[in-house]
Amino acid sequence: MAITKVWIEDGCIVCNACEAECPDVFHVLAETCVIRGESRQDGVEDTNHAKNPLKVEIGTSLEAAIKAAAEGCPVTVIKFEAIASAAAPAPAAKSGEDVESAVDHALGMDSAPAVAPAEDGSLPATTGYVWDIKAAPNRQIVLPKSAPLPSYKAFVAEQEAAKVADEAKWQKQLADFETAKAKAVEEGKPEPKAPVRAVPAKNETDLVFPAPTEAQAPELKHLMELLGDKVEEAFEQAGEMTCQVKKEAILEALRFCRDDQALKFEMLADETATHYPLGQGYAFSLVYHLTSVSRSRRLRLRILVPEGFEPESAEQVYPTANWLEREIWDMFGIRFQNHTDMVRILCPEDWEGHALRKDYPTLGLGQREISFREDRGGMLMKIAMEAAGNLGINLKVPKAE
Amino acid sequence: MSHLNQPTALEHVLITTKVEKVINWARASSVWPMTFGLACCAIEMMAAGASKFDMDRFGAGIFRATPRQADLMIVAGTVTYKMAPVIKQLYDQMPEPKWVIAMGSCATAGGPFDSYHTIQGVDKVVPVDVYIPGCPPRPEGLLYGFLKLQDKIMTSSMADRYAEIFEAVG
Repeated sequence: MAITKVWIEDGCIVCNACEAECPDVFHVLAETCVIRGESRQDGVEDTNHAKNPLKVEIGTSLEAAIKAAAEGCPVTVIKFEAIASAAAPAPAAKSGEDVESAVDHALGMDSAPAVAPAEDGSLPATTGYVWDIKAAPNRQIVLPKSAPLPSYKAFVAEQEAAKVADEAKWQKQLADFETAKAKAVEEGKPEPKAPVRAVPAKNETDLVFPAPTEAQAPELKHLMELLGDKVEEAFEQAGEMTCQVKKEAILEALRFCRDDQALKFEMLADETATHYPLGQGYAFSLVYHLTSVSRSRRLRLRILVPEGFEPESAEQVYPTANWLEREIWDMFGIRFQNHTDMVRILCPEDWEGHALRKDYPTLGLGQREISFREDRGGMLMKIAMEAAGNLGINLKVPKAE
Repeated sequence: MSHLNQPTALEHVLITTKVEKVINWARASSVWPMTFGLACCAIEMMAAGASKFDMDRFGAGIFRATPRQADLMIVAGTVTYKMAPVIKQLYDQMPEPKWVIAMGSCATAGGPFDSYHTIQGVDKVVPVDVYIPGCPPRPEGLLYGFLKLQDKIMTSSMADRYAEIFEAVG
């Protein structure tokens, strides 16, 4: 709370009570009391009724004294306006029945600028638009930098680590008990209670994370046999088969999956990627979702690729990979070797950045200024040059000497 | 002197008015919109054109399939960066006089898509005459916006338009 305006209405009886309470603000003359010019922003002393705003430091530091003076006035002619802090609800009536100022207050018309100036002294932008994403940190969605990569090896390692930690904790409990027991025997006190090993609480809900298991499905084992040491990992999770292969061997794996009579995955249902900015030795997981229409089975092939690596295009095996890989290039920035048309598919051709990377800002870029290139991608120029070339005309501008 | 206030025999037959007013009246009564929609607002626009709401009551029911025959561009939906040059080109192909209605939150100010791909309002690309809020606006909303556009056309002046085009060039 801080008082913004003080004024005195008609009917002052010149009792000196207010000046005694708060001499910095009130001054009693022969006929009436006035507000001191030094305490007001405009510095005029003889206008009692004009609701000129008080200086900010006066309104804040002498708030209690002004209030006491207003309450102590025997004829209640001292009126004031106050602003609440942003979180507090607006006071219904401030002093007396000053409905008009209450309405003003409710509309936010009487409040001083509530926004504090920035450190360099400049006022924050008052426009609703956010031009700079860094200027609006509260509007940014904080995403986790990286999610764990689904993996059987990692799952097993995690389980082992948890088991070891649990065992260490139990051993420590036992050792503590032994020392406490010896101490109690020494001092002749009764023995402490023996520790009980804690059993992990059972999760009663159905929302249990499906744990990955070793490869058991015959087709997955068959594929592992075919690929040999090119398989990095193969596991099943929630009934889904996943096979992670070496990144150089993806084309071979895809050929086996399509052509082998026991596998017969005729369709590439989806090809996409996930960004793992904190991945050790890789930045992206590139997944190929294969579907066998004849056997109604699904298989996921996966490769882990570092930043800048260009995997072989799957287009030679599954032609539908053309657009899917263009989308991956557009959204993640992974280029593919031997792709027939490696250009963006969703964003305009002159776009900068790749939108599905984790470090791409989620908000605010739409506020940019727009500039149109008349000939986006040089297509019109290309056509014009070709047509001119057919006619034997040299359209090229000669270089300046 | 009271006979001077009575209409003469000629005035029973003829109406005297300004040319500008007649032209404005003709323009406001036959605004032909262009057939294109960008998102869900276009569904409401179709409903506004169909029999239940019937924009043809106001002379705006003839949705033209080419910008060269259209007077009004109803930007109904989200304007992406990839679509913006296309909209600009279509607008440039429309003959004068032409008007633009930004229909819905997206075309007005980007709507919920404060993101990398969405332009925060089609007024960054083409000049807009009437903004219609809503997500999406009801067909009544579009009709109300269209009536506002008709008001605007009726109060417009050819001299203003001349100044807008030629005096800006210098």
